[in-house]
Amino acid sequence: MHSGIDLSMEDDAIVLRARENVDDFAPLYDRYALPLYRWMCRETGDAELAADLTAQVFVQALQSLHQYDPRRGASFRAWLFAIARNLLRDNWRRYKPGKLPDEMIDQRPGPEELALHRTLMDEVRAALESLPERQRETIELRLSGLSHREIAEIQGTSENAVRMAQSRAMKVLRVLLHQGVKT
Amino acid sequence: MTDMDFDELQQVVNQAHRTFTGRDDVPEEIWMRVRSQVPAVPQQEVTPLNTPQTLDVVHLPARSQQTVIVRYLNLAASVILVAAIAIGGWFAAVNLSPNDRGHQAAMAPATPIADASCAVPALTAEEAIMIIKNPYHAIDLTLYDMGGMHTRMSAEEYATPDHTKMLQIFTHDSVNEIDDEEWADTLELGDQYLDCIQHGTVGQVLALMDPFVVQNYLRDRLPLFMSEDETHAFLTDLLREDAIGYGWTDPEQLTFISDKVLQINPDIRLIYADSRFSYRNGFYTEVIGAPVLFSNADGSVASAPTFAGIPFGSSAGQTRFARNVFFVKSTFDGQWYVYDILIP
Repeated sequence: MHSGIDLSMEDDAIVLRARENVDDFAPLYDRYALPLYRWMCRETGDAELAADLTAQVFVQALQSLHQYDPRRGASFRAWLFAIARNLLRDNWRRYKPGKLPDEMIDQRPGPEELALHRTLMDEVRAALESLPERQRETIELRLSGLSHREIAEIQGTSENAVRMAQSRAMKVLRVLLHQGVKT
Repeated sequence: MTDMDFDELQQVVNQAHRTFTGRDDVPEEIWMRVRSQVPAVPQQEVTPLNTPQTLDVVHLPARSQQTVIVRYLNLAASVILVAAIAIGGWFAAVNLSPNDRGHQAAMAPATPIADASCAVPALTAEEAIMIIKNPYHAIDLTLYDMGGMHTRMSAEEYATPDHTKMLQIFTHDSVNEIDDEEWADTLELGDQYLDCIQHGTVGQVLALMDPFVVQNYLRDRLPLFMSEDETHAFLTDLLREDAIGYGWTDPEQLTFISDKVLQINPDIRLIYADSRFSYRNGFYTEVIGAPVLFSNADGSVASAPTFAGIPFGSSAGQTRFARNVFFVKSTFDGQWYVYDILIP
Protein backbone atom coordinates (compact mmCIF):
# COMPACT_ATOMS: atom_id res chain seq x y z
CA MET A 1 0.00 0.00 0.00
CA HIS A 2 2.94 2.32 0.48
CA SER A 3 5.13 2.55 -2.58
CA GLY A 4 8.01 4.87 -3.23
CA ILE A 5 10.07 3.98 -0.18
CA ASP A 6 12.34 1.07 0.57
CA LEU A 7 10.48 -1.04 3.13
CA SER A 8 13.74 -2.36 4.55
CA MET A 9 14.90 1.11 5.54
CA GLU A 10 15.80 1.65 9.14
CA ASP A 11 13.20 3.38 11.29
CA ASP A 12 15.31 6.49 11.75
CA ALA A 13 15.85 6.95 8.01
CA ILE A 14 12.10 6.72 7.47
CA VAL A 15 11.50 9.26 10.22
CA LEU A 16 13.80 11.71 8.44
CA ARG A 17 11.79 11.39 5.24
CA ALA A 18 8.46 11.47 7.04
CA ARG A 19 9.37 14.84 8.50
CA GLU A 20 9.19 16.15 4.94
CA ASN A 21 6.15 14.19 3.84
CA VAL A 22 3.73 12.40 6.14
CA ASP A 23 2.95 9.75 3.53
CA ASP A 24 6.54 8.52 3.82
CA PHE A 25 5.68 7.52 7.39
CA ALA A 26 3.50 4.69 6.10
CA PRO A 27 6.15 1.91 6.37
CA LEU A 28 6.52 2.69 10.07
CA TYR A 29 2.76 2.49 10.41
CA ASP A 30 2.84 -0.89 8.67
CA ARG A 31 5.50 -2.10 11.11
CA TYR A 32 3.91 -1.02 14.33
CA ALA A 33 0.18 -0.61 13.83
CA LEU A 34 -0.66 -4.27 14.39
CA PRO A 35 1.19 -4.73 17.72
CA LEU A 36 -0.24 -1.42 18.91
CA TYR A 37 -3.75 -2.35 17.84
CA ARG A 38 -3.45 -5.73 19.55
CA TRP A 39 -2.28 -4.05 22.75
CA MET A 40 -5.19 -1.61 22.67
CA CYS A 41 -7.63 -4.47 22.07
CA ARG A 42 -6.32 -6.29 25.13
CA GLU A 43 -6.46 -3.11 27.13
CA THR A 44 -10.00 -2.07 26.20
CA GLY A 45 -11.73 -5.29 25.17
CA ASP A 46 -13.39 -3.19 22.47
CA ALA A 47 -12.15 -3.38 18.88
CA GLU A 48 -13.68 -0.05 17.87
CA LEU A 49 -12.21 1.77 20.84
CA ALA A 50 -8.87 0.05 20.22
CA ALA A 51 -8.86 1.36 16.66
CA ASP A 52 -9.60 4.85 17.98
CA LEU A 53 -6.75 4.72 20.50
CA THR A 54 -4.35 3.29 17.93
CA ALA A 55 -5.15 6.17 15.60
CA GLN A 56 -4.54 8.63 18.44
CA VAL A 57 -1.09 7.15 19.07
CA PHE A 58 -0.06 7.70 15.46
CA VAL A 59 -1.59 11.16 15.32
CA GLN A 60 0.41 12.16 18.39
CA ALA A 61 3.55 10.57 16.97
CA LEU A 62 3.24 12.38 13.66
CA GLN A 63 2.48 15.69 15.31
CA SER A 64 5.60 15.39 17.45
CA LEU A 65 7.87 13.67 14.97
CA HIS A 66 10.19 16.65 15.02
CA GLN A 67 10.80 15.97 18.70
CA TYR A 68 12.18 12.50 18.12
CA ASP A 69 15.97 12.55 18.22
CA PRO A 70 17.74 9.22 17.57
CA ARG A 71 21.00 10.67 18.87
CA ARG A 72 19.59 10.43 22.36
CA GLY A 73 19.79 6.68 22.19
CA ALA A 74 16.11 5.83 22.40
CA SER A 75 14.84 3.84 19.43
CA PHE A 76 11.90 5.09 17.41
CA ARG A 77 9.97 2.00 18.47
CA ALA A 78 10.54 2.75 22.16
CA TRP A 79 9.55 6.37 21.56
CA LEU A 80 6.34 5.34 19.76
CA PHE A 81 5.32 2.85 22.42
CA ALA A 82 6.06 5.38 25.15
CA ILE A 83 3.46 7.61 23.50
CA ALA A 84 1.01 4.69 23.56
CA ARG A 85 1.78 4.00 27.19
CA ASN A 86 1.16 7.61 28.19
CA LEU A 87 -2.01 7.81 26.14
CA LEU A 88 -3.35 4.76 27.96
CA ARG A 89 -2.42 6.18 31.33
CA ASP A 90 -3.83 9.63 30.75
CA ASN A 91 -6.79 9.15 28.44
CA TRP A 92 -8.01 5.63 28.97
CA ARG A 93 -7.25 4.11 32.34
CA ARG A 94 -8.50 7.17 34.17
CA TYR A 95 -12.02 6.43 32.96
CA LYS A 96 -11.73 2.69 32.69
CA PRO A 97 -15.07 1.08 33.61
CA GLY A 98 -13.32 -1.85 35.29
CA LYS A 99 -11.93 0.48 37.93
CA LEU A 100 -15.27 0.81 39.69
CA PRO A 101 -14.99 -0.55 43.21
CA ASP A 102 -16.54 -3.93 43.83
CA GLU A 103 -19.22 -2.61 46.13
CA MET A 104 -20.64 -0.55 43.27
CA ILE A 105 -20.88 -3.53 40.97
CA ASP A 106 -23.28 -6.41 41.30
CA GLN A 107 -20.80 -9.25 41.35
CA ARG A 108 -23.34 -11.92 40.53
CA PRO A 109 -23.17 -13.06 36.93
CA GLY A 110 -26.24 -12.21 34.89
CA PRO A 111 -28.14 -14.80 32.89
CA GLU A 112 -26.39 -13.85 29.66
CA GLU A 113 -23.02 -14.11 31.30
CA LEU A 114 -23.86 -17.50 32.68
CA ALA A 115 -25.06 -18.61 29.30
CA LEU A 116 -22.03 -17.45 27.36
CA HIS A 117 -18.66 -19.08 27.50
CA ARG A 118 -15.78 -16.85 28.37
CA THR A 119 -13.67 -16.21 25.33
CA LEU A 120 -9.94 -16.68 25.13
CA MET A 121 -9.60 -12.90 25.01
CA ASP A 122 -11.52 -12.68 28.30
CA GLU A 123 -9.06 -15.12 29.84
CA VAL A 124 -6.05 -13.23 28.53
CA ARG A 125 -7.40 -9.88 29.68
CA ALA A 126 -8.33 -11.18 33.13
CA ALA A 127 -4.88 -12.72 33.56
CA LEU A 128 -3.13 -9.50 32.51
CA GLU A 129 -5.42 -7.45 34.75
CA SER A 130 -4.31 -9.48 37.72
CA LEU A 131 -0.72 -8.30 37.37
CA PRO A 132 0.76 -5.26 39.10
CA GLU A 133 0.89 -2.28 36.76
CA ARG A 134 4.63 -2.42 36.10
CA GLN A 135 4.61 -6.15 35.36
CA ARG A 136 1.61 -5.89 33.08
CA GLU A 137 3.17 -3.06 31.15
CA THR A 138 6.39 -5.05 30.79
CA ILE A 139 4.52 -8.02 29.39
CA GLU A 140 2.46 -5.85 27.02
CA LEU A 141 5.56 -4.16 25.67
CA ARG A 142 7.35 -7.49 25.28
CA LEU A 143 4.34 -8.89 23.44
CA SER A 144 4.53 -5.84 21.19
CA GLY A 145 8.05 -6.81 20.22
CA LEU A 146 10.10 -4.43 22.32
CA SER A 147 13.43 -5.55 23.73
CA HIS A 148 14.28 -5.53 27.43
CA ARG A 149 16.51 -2.55 26.77
CA GLU A 150 13.77 -0.58 25.04
CA ILE A 151 11.34 -1.32 27.86
CA ALA A 152 13.95 -0.23 30.40
CA GLU A 153 14.27 3.07 28.49
CA ILE A 154 10.53 3.61 28.57
CA GLN A 155 10.14 2.72 32.22
CA GLY A 156 13.30 4.46 33.35
CA THR A 157 14.69 1.35 34.96
CA SER A 158 17.38 -1.27 34.28
CA GLU A 159 17.23 -4.19 31.89
CA ASN A 160 17.66 -6.49 34.86
CA ALA A 161 14.61 -4.99 36.54
CA VAL A 162 12.63 -5.52 33.34
CA ARG A 163 13.71 -9.14 33.18
CA MET A 164 12.71 -9.64 36.80
CA ALA A 165 9.31 -8.05 36.21
CA GLN A 166 8.79 -10.29 33.19
CA SER A 167 9.85 -13.35 35.11
CA ARG A 168 7.46 -12.63 37.97
CA ALA A 169 4.63 -11.88 35.61
CA MET A 170 5.20 -15.07 33.67
CA LYS A 171 4.94 -17.13 36.83
CA VAL A 172 1.47 -15.72 37.45
CA LEU A 173 0.35 -15.86 33.83
CA ARG A 174 1.49 -19.43 33.44
CA VAL A 175 -0.85 -20.50 36.23
CA LEU A 176 -3.79 -18.26 35.35
CA LEU A 177 -3.80 -18.95 31.64
CA HIS A 178 -3.32 -22.65 32.16
CA GLN A 179 -6.33 -22.68 34.47
CA GLY A 180 -8.36 -20.52 32.10
CA VAL A 181 -7.62 -22.58 29.01
CA LYS A 182 -8.44 -25.80 30.84
CA THR A 183 -11.86 -24.66 32.07
CA MET B 1 11.36 -18.53 32.76
CA THR B 2 12.39 -19.69 29.33
CA ASP B 3 11.89 -18.10 25.93
CA MET B 4 9.65 -21.04 25.17
CA ASP B 5 7.26 -19.87 27.89
CA PHE B 6 7.11 -16.41 26.42
CA ASP B 7 6.71 -17.70 22.86
CA GLU B 8 3.80 -19.81 24.07
CA LEU B 9 2.23 -16.77 25.73
CA GLN B 10 2.70 -14.81 22.50
CA GLN B 11 0.89 -17.53 20.57
CA VAL B 12 -2.01 -17.64 23.02
CA VAL B 13 -2.34 -13.86 22.96
CA ASN B 14 -2.23 -13.71 19.15
CA GLN B 15 -4.80 -16.47 18.93
CA ALA B 16 -7.02 -14.56 21.36
CA HIS B 17 -6.70 -11.47 19.17
CA ARG B 18 -7.63 -13.38 16.01
CA THR B 19 -10.73 -14.89 17.56
CA PHE B 20 -11.67 -11.57 19.17
CA THR B 21 -11.37 -9.36 16.09
CA GLY B 22 -11.85 -12.00 13.41
CA ARG B 23 -8.77 -10.72 11.63
CA ASP B 24 -5.03 -10.68 11.79
CA ASP B 25 -4.38 -7.26 10.41
CA VAL B 26 -5.23 -3.67 11.22
CA PRO B 27 -8.51 -2.07 10.11
CA GLU B 28 -7.90 0.16 7.09
CA GLU B 29 -9.79 3.05 8.59
CA ILE B 30 -7.18 3.61 11.29
CA TRP B 31 -4.64 4.97 8.81
CA MET B 32 -7.36 7.03 7.16
CA ARG B 33 -8.26 8.53 10.52
CA VAL B 34 -4.62 9.34 11.14
CA ARG B 35 -4.17 10.97 7.75
CA SER B 36 -7.32 13.01 8.19
CA GLN B 37 -5.83 14.50 11.36
CA VAL B 38 -2.32 15.27 10.18
CA PRO B 39 -1.38 17.60 7.30
CA ALA B 40 0.82 16.19 4.54
CA VAL B 41 3.77 18.34 5.58
CA PRO B 42 4.13 18.22 9.33
CA GLN B 43 5.80 20.74 11.58
CA GLN B 44 9.34 21.30 10.32
CA GLU B 45 11.04 22.50 13.45
CA VAL B 46 13.48 19.85 14.64
CA THR B 47 14.13 19.95 18.34
CA PRO B 48 15.80 17.50 20.68
CA LEU B 49 13.70 14.62 21.84
CA ASN B 50 11.55 15.40 24.81
CA THR B 51 9.90 12.67 26.71
CA PRO B 52 6.53 11.84 25.19
CA GLN B 53 4.88 12.70 28.49
CA THR B 54 5.47 16.35 27.76
CA LEU B 55 3.41 16.41 24.59
CA ASP B 56 1.09 19.32 24.95
CA VAL B 57 -0.57 19.43 21.54
CA VAL B 58 -3.04 16.62 21.24
CA HIS B 59 -5.68 16.74 18.53
CA LEU B 60 -8.08 13.93 19.08
CA PRO B 61 -9.20 12.11 15.96
CA ALA B 62 -12.83 11.91 14.95
CA ARG B 63 -14.66 9.41 17.08
CA SER B 64 -17.42 7.01 16.31
CA GLN B 65 -20.75 7.60 18.05
CA GLN B 66 -20.26 4.37 19.99
CA THR B 67 -16.94 5.56 21.27
CA VAL B 68 -18.42 8.86 22.34
CA ILE B 69 -21.17 7.05 24.22
CA VAL B 70 -18.64 4.80 25.96
CA ARG B 71 -16.63 7.80 27.01
CA TYR B 72 -19.69 9.55 28.44
CA LEU B 73 -20.64 6.37 30.29
CA ASN B 74 -17.16 6.21 31.73
CA LEU B 75 -17.33 9.81 32.84
CA ALA B 76 -20.72 9.17 34.42
CA ALA B 77 -19.30 6.16 36.27
CA SER B 78 -16.47 8.32 37.61
CA VAL B 79 -18.96 10.88 38.89
CA ILE B 80 -20.98 8.13 40.59
CA LEU B 81 -17.81 6.75 42.17
CA VAL B 82 -16.79 10.12 43.59
CA ALA B 83 -20.32 10.71 44.89
CA ALA B 84 -20.45 7.25 46.48
CA ILE B 85 -17.16 7.78 48.28
CA ALA B 86 -18.31 11.19 49.57
CA ILE B 87 -21.67 9.83 50.72
CA GLY B 88 -20.00 6.81 52.30
CA GLY B 89 -17.64 9.02 54.27
CA TRP B 90 -20.49 11.25 55.39
CA PHE B 91 -22.60 8.25 56.34
CA ALA B 92 -19.79 6.73 58.41
CA ALA B 93 -19.11 9.98 60.22
CA VAL B 94 -22.78 10.63 60.99
CA ASN B 95 -24.11 7.19 61.78
CA LEU B 96 -21.44 5.31 63.69
CA SER B 97 -22.31 5.48 67.32
CA PRO B 98 -19.73 5.94 70.06
CA ASN B 99 -20.30 2.35 71.02
CA ASP B 100 -19.48 1.22 67.53
CA ARG B 101 -16.26 3.10 67.27
CA GLY B 102 -16.16 5.50 70.13
CA HIS B 103 -13.41 7.50 68.53
CA GLN B 104 -14.95 9.99 66.20
CA ALA B 105 -12.38 12.62 66.95
CA ALA B 106 -9.71 10.38 65.51
CA MET B 107 -11.85 9.48 62.53
CA ALA B 108 -12.50 12.87 61.08
CA PRO B 109 -9.56 15.14 60.41
CA ALA B 110 -11.19 18.17 58.83
CA THR B 111 -8.25 19.76 57.07
CA PRO B 112 -6.82 18.77 53.73
CA ILE B 113 -3.92 16.37 53.95
CA ALA B 114 -0.66 17.29 52.28
CA ASP B 115 0.63 15.04 49.53
CA ALA B 116 2.39 12.12 51.13
CA SER B 117 5.87 11.09 50.11
CA CYS B 118 8.49 8.70 51.37
CA ALA B 119 11.67 10.28 52.69
CA VAL B 120 13.13 7.22 54.41
CA PRO B 121 16.76 6.36 53.54
CA ALA B 122 16.58 3.14 51.55
CA LEU B 123 18.19 -0.11 52.57
CA THR B 124 21.35 -0.54 50.49
CA ALA B 125 22.38 -3.72 48.73
CA GLU B 126 25.28 -4.07 51.17
CA GLU B 127 22.96 -3.80 54.16
CA ALA B 128 20.56 -6.23 52.56
CA ILE B 129 23.33 -8.79 52.08
CA MET B 130 24.33 -8.41 55.74
CA ILE B 131 20.73 -9.00 56.81
CA ILE B 132 20.50 -12.08 54.63
CA LYS B 133 23.61 -13.46 56.28
CA ASN B 134 22.49 -12.51 59.76
CA PRO B 135 19.50 -10.28 60.53
CA TYR B 136 21.16 -8.87 63.63
CA HIS B 137 24.77 -8.80 62.60
CA ALA B 138 25.78 -6.75 65.61
CA ILE B 139 24.73 -9.58 67.85
CA ASP B 140 26.38 -12.91 68.03
CA LEU B 141 23.19 -14.64 67.12
CA THR B 142 23.03 -18.24 68.14
CA LEU B 143 19.50 -19.28 67.50
CA TYR B 144 19.48 -22.23 69.82
CA ASP B 145 20.81 -20.27 72.77
CA MET B 146 18.07 -17.66 72.75
CA GLY B 147 15.81 -17.45 75.72
CA GLY B 148 12.17 -18.31 75.30
CA MET B 149 12.68 -20.53 72.28
CA HIS B 150 10.51 -23.50 71.57
CA THR B 151 13.05 -26.25 71.41
CA ARG B 152 11.09 -28.42 69.04
CA MET B 153 11.25 -25.87 66.24
CA SER B 154 13.57 -26.43 63.33
CA ALA B 155 15.99 -23.70 62.33
CA GLU B 156 13.82 -23.03 59.27
CA GLU B 157 10.67 -22.63 61.34
CA TYR B 158 12.61 -20.58 63.79
CA ALA B 159 13.64 -17.91 61.32
CA THR B 160 10.49 -17.76 59.21
CA PRO B 161 7.86 -15.13 59.96
CA ASP B 162 4.45 -16.62 60.54
CA HIS B 163 1.57 -14.41 59.49
CA THR B 164 -0.97 -16.96 60.59
CA LYS B 165 0.33 -16.81 64.12
CA MET B 166 0.27 -13.04 64.01
CA LEU B 167 -3.32 -13.03 62.79
CA GLN B 168 -4.36 -15.24 65.66
CA ILE B 169 -4.21 -12.31 68.00
CA PHE B 170 -7.40 -11.09 66.35
CA THR B 171 -9.16 -13.68 68.40
CA HIS B 172 -7.74 -12.27 71.61
CA ASP B 173 -8.98 -9.37 73.63
CA SER B 174 -6.81 -6.33 73.28
CA VAL B 175 -4.39 -5.70 76.12
CA ASN B 176 -3.29 -2.12 75.86
CA GLU B 177 0.01 -1.92 77.63
CA ILE B 178 1.77 0.91 75.91
CA ASP B 179 2.33 4.45 77.06
CA ASP B 180 1.59 7.53 75.02
CA GLU B 181 5.23 8.34 74.32
CA GLU B 182 6.04 4.93 72.98
CA TRP B 183 2.85 4.94 70.92
CA ALA B 184 3.83 8.30 69.38
CA ASP B 185 7.13 6.78 68.20
CA THR B 186 5.39 3.73 66.78
CA LEU B 187 2.79 5.90 65.10
CA GLU B 188 5.46 7.88 63.29
CA LEU B 189 7.07 4.67 62.09
CA GLY B 190 3.72 3.38 60.87
CA ASP B 191 2.89 6.53 58.94
CA GLN B 192 6.31 6.46 57.28
CA TYR B 193 5.67 2.87 56.30
CA LEU B 194 2.26 3.66 54.80
CA ASP B 195 3.74 6.56 52.85
CA CYS B 196 6.55 4.37 51.57
CA ILE B 197 4.43 1.43 50.40
CA GLN B 198 2.54 3.92 48.23
CA HIS B 199 5.24 6.34 47.16
CA GLY B 200 8.61 4.78 47.96
CA THR B 201 10.86 2.01 46.76
CA VAL B 202 11.24 -1.56 47.93
CA GLY B 203 14.47 -0.52 49.67
CA GLN B 204 12.72 2.27 51.58
CA VAL B 205 9.97 -0.05 52.78
CA LEU B 206 12.40 -2.75 53.85
CA ALA B 207 14.42 -0.20 55.81
CA LEU B 208 11.46 0.11 58.18
CA MET B 209 10.76 -3.58 58.59
CA ASP B 210 11.95 -6.13 61.08
CA PRO B 211 15.26 -7.64 59.92
CA PHE B 212 13.95 -11.18 60.30
CA VAL B 213 11.03 -10.35 58.02
CA VAL B 214 13.42 -8.64 55.58
CA GLN B 215 15.70 -11.66 55.57
CA ASN B 216 12.80 -13.94 54.78
CA TYR B 217 11.46 -11.61 52.11
CA LEU B 218 14.79 -11.36 50.31
CA ARG B 219 15.60 -15.04 50.70
CA ASP B 220 12.37 -15.91 48.92
CA ARG B 221 13.37 -13.83 45.93
CA LEU B 222 17.00 -14.72 45.48
CA PRO B 223 17.82 -17.37 42.91
CA LEU B 224 19.35 -20.52 44.34
CA PHE B 225 22.78 -20.16 42.81
CA MET B 226 24.31 -16.75 42.63
CA SER B 227 27.70 -15.28 43.39
CA GLU B 228 27.94 -12.41 45.86
CA ASP B 229 28.58 -9.97 43.00
CA GLU B 230 25.50 -11.22 41.18
CA THR B 231 23.51 -11.04 44.41
CA HIS B 232 24.63 -7.45 44.87
CA ALA B 233 23.47 -6.51 41.36
CA PHE B 234 20.19 -8.36 41.82
CA LEU B 235 19.47 -6.65 45.12
CA THR B 236 20.46 -3.23 43.78
CA ASP B 237 17.76 -3.51 41.13
CA LEU B 238 15.20 -5.03 43.47
CA LEU B 239 15.63 -2.35 46.13
CA ARG B 240 15.17 0.42 43.54
CA GLU B 241 11.84 -0.87 42.30
CA ASP B 242 8.64 0.96 43.14
CA ALA B 243 7.15 -0.45 46.30
CA ILE B 244 3.57 -0.08 45.17
CA GLY B 245 2.13 -3.26 43.80
CA TYR B 246 5.00 -5.19 45.32
CA GLY B 247 3.45 -7.51 47.85
CA TRP B 248 2.52 -4.93 50.46
CA THR B 249 -0.13 -3.57 48.16
CA ASP B 250 -1.59 -6.28 45.97
CA PRO B 251 -3.12 -5.38 42.60
CA GLU B 252 -6.65 -5.51 43.96
CA GLN B 253 -5.80 -2.99 46.65
CA LEU B 254 -4.19 -0.57 44.25
CA THR B 255 -7.45 0.37 42.60
CA PHE B 256 -8.91 1.75 45.78
CA ILE B 257 -5.95 3.06 47.74
CA SER B 258 -4.53 5.05 44.86
CA ASP B 259 -6.59 8.13 45.67
CA LYS B 260 -6.57 7.72 49.44
CA VAL B 261 -4.26 9.00 52.13
CA LEU B 262 -3.27 6.19 54.46
CA GLN B 263 -2.39 6.82 58.10
CA ILE B 264 -2.26 4.74 61.22
CA ASN B 265 -5.34 5.66 63.21
CA PRO B 266 -3.74 7.71 66.01
CA ASP B 267 -6.34 6.75 68.60
CA ILE B 268 -4.47 4.63 71.12
CA ARG B 269 -7.74 3.07 72.25
CA LEU B 270 -8.06 1.31 68.89
CA ILE B 271 -4.82 -0.62 68.93
CA TYR B 272 -3.93 -4.05 70.15
CA ALA B 273 -0.78 -3.84 72.26
CA ASP B 274 0.59 -6.75 74.20
CA SER B 275 3.86 -7.08 76.02
CA ARG B 276 2.94 -10.57 77.16
CA PHE B 277 2.66 -11.82 73.62
CA SER B 278 5.42 -14.34 73.18
CA TYR B 279 5.86 -14.34 69.46
CA ARG B 280 7.95 -16.98 67.81
CA ASN B 281 11.04 -17.65 69.86
CA GLY B 282 11.42 -14.55 71.83
CA PHE B 283 12.42 -12.42 68.86
CA TYR B 284 9.99 -9.77 69.97
CA THR B 285 9.18 -8.41 73.40
CA GLU B 286 6.02 -6.58 72.34
CA VAL B 287 3.58 -6.57 69.48
CA ILE B 288 1.13 -3.89 68.36
CA GLY B 289 -1.61 -4.16 65.81
CA ALA B 290 -3.06 -0.86 64.64
CA PRO B 291 -5.80 -0.12 62.11
CA VAL B 292 -5.21 1.99 59.03
CA LEU B 293 -7.29 5.13 58.62
CA PHE B 294 -8.23 5.88 55.00
CA SER B 295 -8.81 9.53 54.19
CA ASN B 296 -9.68 11.42 51.07
CA ALA B 297 -7.36 14.16 49.86
CA ASP B 298 -9.60 16.83 51.39
CA GLY B 299 -9.11 15.29 54.82
CA SER B 300 -12.53 13.67 55.09
CA VAL B 301 -12.55 10.08 56.30
CA ALA B 302 -13.19 7.42 53.69
CA SER B 303 -12.99 4.49 56.10
CA ALA B 304 -11.96 4.09 59.72
CA PRO B 305 -12.11 0.43 60.67
CA THR B 306 -11.19 -0.60 64.18
CA PHE B 307 -8.52 -3.19 64.83
CA ALA B 308 -10.70 -5.92 66.25
CA GLY B 309 -14.00 -4.63 64.90
CA ILE B 310 -14.11 -6.83 61.87
CA PRO B 311 -14.67 -10.48 62.61
CA PHE B 312 -13.21 -13.39 60.71
CA GLY B 313 -15.36 -14.65 57.88
CA SER B 314 -16.79 -11.27 56.95
CA SER B 315 -17.34 -10.66 53.28
CA ALA B 316 -14.84 -8.95 51.02
CA GLY B 317 -17.11 -5.92 50.87
CA GLN B 318 -16.94 -5.42 54.62
CA THR B 319 -13.18 -5.88 54.83
CA ARG B 320 -12.39 -3.94 51.71
CA PHE B 321 -10.72 -1.12 53.57
CA ALA B 322 -9.69 -3.02 56.65
CA ARG B 323 -5.93 -3.21 57.01
CA ASN B 324 -3.84 -3.52 60.15
CA VAL B 325 -0.20 -2.67 60.46
CA PHE B 326 1.70 -4.85 62.91
CA PHE B 327 4.68 -3.54 64.80
CA VAL B 328 7.16 -5.61 66.75
CA LYS B 329 9.70 -4.55 69.34
CA SER B 330 12.92 -6.46 68.83
CA THR B 331 14.42 -8.45 71.65
CA PHE B 332 17.86 -7.79 70.21
CA ASP B 333 18.08 -4.05 69.85
CA GLY B 334 14.93 -2.82 71.59
CA GLN B 335 13.74 -1.03 68.44
CA TRP B 336 10.24 -0.98 67.00
CA TYR B 337 9.95 -2.32 63.47
CA VAL B 338 7.09 -2.87 61.09
CA TYR B 339 6.24 -6.53 60.80
CA ASP B 340 3.76 -6.30 57.93
CA ILE B 341 0.41 -4.93 56.81
CA LEU B 342 -2.22 -7.62 57.01
CA ILE B 343 -5.84 -8.04 56.05
CA PRO B 344 -8.10 -9.31 58.84
